[in-house]
Amino acid sequence: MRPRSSGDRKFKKFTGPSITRTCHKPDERIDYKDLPLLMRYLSPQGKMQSRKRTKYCAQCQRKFSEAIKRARYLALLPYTV
Amino acid sequence: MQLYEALFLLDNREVKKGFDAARERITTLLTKHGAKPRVVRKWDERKLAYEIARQKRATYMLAYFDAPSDAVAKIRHDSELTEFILRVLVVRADEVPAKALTEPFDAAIAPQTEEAPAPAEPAAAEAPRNGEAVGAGVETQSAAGEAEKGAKA
Repeated sequence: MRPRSSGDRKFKKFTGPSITRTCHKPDERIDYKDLPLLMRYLSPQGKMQSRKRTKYCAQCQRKFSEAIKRARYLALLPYTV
Repeated sequence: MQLYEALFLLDNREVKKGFDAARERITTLLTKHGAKPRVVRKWDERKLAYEIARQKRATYMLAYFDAPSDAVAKIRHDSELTEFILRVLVVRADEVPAKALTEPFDAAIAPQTEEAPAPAEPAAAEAPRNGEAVGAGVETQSAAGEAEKGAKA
């Protein structure tokens, strides 16, 4: 059986976070009060974007996700729009 | 003792009766359970993303305090029983950020408030105000400013 080449894929494979993004800084915290930053990565429906779109590494995406949930709890951001 | 950051969501109906009294109640709530507040100040007064207790607007009070770990659960529990506190979020903090002492997070989106300068703080009243800088952080700022003036003299 012929092995599938990358050209067979319908969509481009997700290859991980962009190396140009300097999101991973151990001391940096994504603050739940930093609404302009959080809103940049929300869809118009108020849903948080995936790693594929944010280009965050796993650690930063987790921080981002935690910050969004905290902001939602305090009614700074909506759960749904 | 660990440094914590807490953001209280306060009922505007109580805050309008007296901002200093509301701040005092938060400070008392913290000290009652063995916490030592470093900063208790208003963060913002804004429209909520969704209604809480039939309130569409609320006041956010930001506090930084040192507390033993068992005090945090007591503070959360006490906040739930206090009616004028709609929500509270307590998280660990490494340090008190300088931005937390000076102004709301984004002064451009923060609505101006109607509260008057506190008469008990003449040094703070002399300093340029953005309309809502009432808190321990401002007191420390004004104290630092006086110290600088003294050093220059």
